Amino acid sequence: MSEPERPSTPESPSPQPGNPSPQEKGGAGATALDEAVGLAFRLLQVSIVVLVLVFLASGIATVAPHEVAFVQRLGSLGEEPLEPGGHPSLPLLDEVVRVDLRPRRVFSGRFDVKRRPSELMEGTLEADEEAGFDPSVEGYLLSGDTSAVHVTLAASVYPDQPRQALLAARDPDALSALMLERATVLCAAERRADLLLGGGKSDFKDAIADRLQRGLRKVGSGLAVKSVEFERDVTPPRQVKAAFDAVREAKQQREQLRLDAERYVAQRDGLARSEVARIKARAAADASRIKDRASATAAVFKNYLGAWRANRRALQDRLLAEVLTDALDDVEEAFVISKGELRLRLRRDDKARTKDLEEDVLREMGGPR
Amino acid sequence: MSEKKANRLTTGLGILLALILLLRLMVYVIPEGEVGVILTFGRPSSEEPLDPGPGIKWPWPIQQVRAVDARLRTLQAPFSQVMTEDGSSVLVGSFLLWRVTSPQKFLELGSDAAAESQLLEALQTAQLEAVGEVPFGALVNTDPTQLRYAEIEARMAEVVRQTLAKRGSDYGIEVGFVGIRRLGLSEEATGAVFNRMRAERTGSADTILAEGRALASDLRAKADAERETALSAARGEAEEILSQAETEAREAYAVLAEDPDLAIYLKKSEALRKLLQQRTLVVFDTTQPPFDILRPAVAPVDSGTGDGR
Repeated sequence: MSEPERPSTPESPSPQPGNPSPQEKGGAGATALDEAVGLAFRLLQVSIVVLVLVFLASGIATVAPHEVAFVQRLGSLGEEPLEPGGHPSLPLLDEVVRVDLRPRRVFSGRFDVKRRPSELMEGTLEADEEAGFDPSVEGYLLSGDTSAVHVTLAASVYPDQPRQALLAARDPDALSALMLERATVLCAAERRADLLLGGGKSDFKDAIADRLQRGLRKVGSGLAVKSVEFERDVTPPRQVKAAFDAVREAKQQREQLRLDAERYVAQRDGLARSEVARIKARAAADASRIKDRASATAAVFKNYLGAWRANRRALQDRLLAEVLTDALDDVEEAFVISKGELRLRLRRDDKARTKDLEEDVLREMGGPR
Repeated sequence: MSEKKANRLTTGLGILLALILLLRLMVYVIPEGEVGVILTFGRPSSEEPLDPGPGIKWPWPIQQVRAVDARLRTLQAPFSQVMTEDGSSVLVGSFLLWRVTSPQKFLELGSDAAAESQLLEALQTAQLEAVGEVPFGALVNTDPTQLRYAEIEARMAEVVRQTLAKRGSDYGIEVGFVGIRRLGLSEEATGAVFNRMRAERTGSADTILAEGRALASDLRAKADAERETALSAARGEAEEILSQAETEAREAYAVLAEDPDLAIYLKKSEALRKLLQQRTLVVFDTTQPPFDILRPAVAPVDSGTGDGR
């Protein structure tokens, strides 16, 4: 079966394959344009959505751990601080203002020499003792007794009332530094230089901190003082350094004198104790001897009393014989004098006796004589 | 998407942008911590400053808003020479805390530098006047009750205000606080101060040494005295011990009273025994008992020759 032939017309020539007709060409272009516009519109929609999202995201504020923040909505600063973390806010209408809570150090550098050359302070460079201070080079602090000292102080200050600190001063550091200098001047003006240079330093520092705190409160700064320290210690001017050194040496000598005296005291105390002990011991020994002698004498007396009463003469002879027996135990020389006189030299020289004894022993052992 | 829809979107966006631009031109915001003023063709519209917050104005060039920082600002006067009431020459450096309260007046000055110049002049005047009204002892004194800083600073603030007022305007400035930040003496005067400091330290060194010597002397003397006291007490105690012993001995010796002759004889016998314990030359009469019994035992010798040993 054959397919019926299509009639061909000159108005509408039958399109050849791969060669579309003009109508077909126009329809495809419109379609492509529509698709392109649609795609662009979708892209625009997506972009708008993205922009809106970015815009909304820009309202999220992040507060760091060392900060607090306040929302400033149309110029008005919120009362409640935002704690560390993320917080939403209204873009364009809100501004998040942050306050750093970390302590900041401010210095009082005007009371010190601009530089402290070591050769000046150590005295290796001869100081001009007649020279005064050139205030542009050598700052100093005037003490209550109208003396001059050098010092640099550092105060650590932080915002304890953050909102107040934000609104109070345009430059809180400059304000704090000026208040620190004021506190330093006022505290030094009522103290002696010796105290500032010596034992009163700690009190001086505390007084400055207290006065600085009161000053900052007085002007409503919203700031608090954490600490005040000596950035550079209190020192005398180089022009009078030698005199201060002399005082320091005198103090050392005084301490040495005291130590020497205390050593002497300890030595004397020890000697006294030993002397006291010796005196007491001797007294005790003497007392003991006295009592023993008395007891012995009494005992001997009692021992001989019966014999004495029985025959006095016999006892006398016996006792004399005992004494002579002991005495004549070691006669060194004996002389019989013609007139019936007997002379005996008794050997009681301990050294001689010892020597003789040694000689006897040696002799018995067959050694040299 | 239809052309109509695209046109609507374009129109909408245009209107939105126009509104934003109009708002930007007409709405203003004064942040907290600042004060503002509306200028209509360059002139302040009112005497009262604008409070913090939003507001509406005509768009530029009809009206514009100027905001000024209303927080405290600092200003320092240089370290300058001042004569005190009692004629002492001192160097004083002070500072001033100030803020803008009226931007209308403040803007008349033209700039912050111009305002600071006016204030600085007033502050230097205040330094001269306030410090010149007190003696030197009110500035430095070891007696804190003599110091008059509060009075001086209050007076300085008052003089600054008066000085500004005398010029017919306070320039919209409020003087918050005036303080002294530095105090010193002239270069010439410090020479004298150094001489005095040296003299004081020399005296102080002498005093310290004298104290040390006195302290050492006291300690030594005290130690000697304590030693003497201790020895004296020990001697007293020793005497007491001996006295007690003597008492006890006397009690023991009481028995000797039963026969004093025996006691004396025993004493003599003891004495003789002790005497003969020494290296002694004893001469006996061999004609008398009991030494007569020795005569036959001893051969006669010549005196002094030692042959009879």
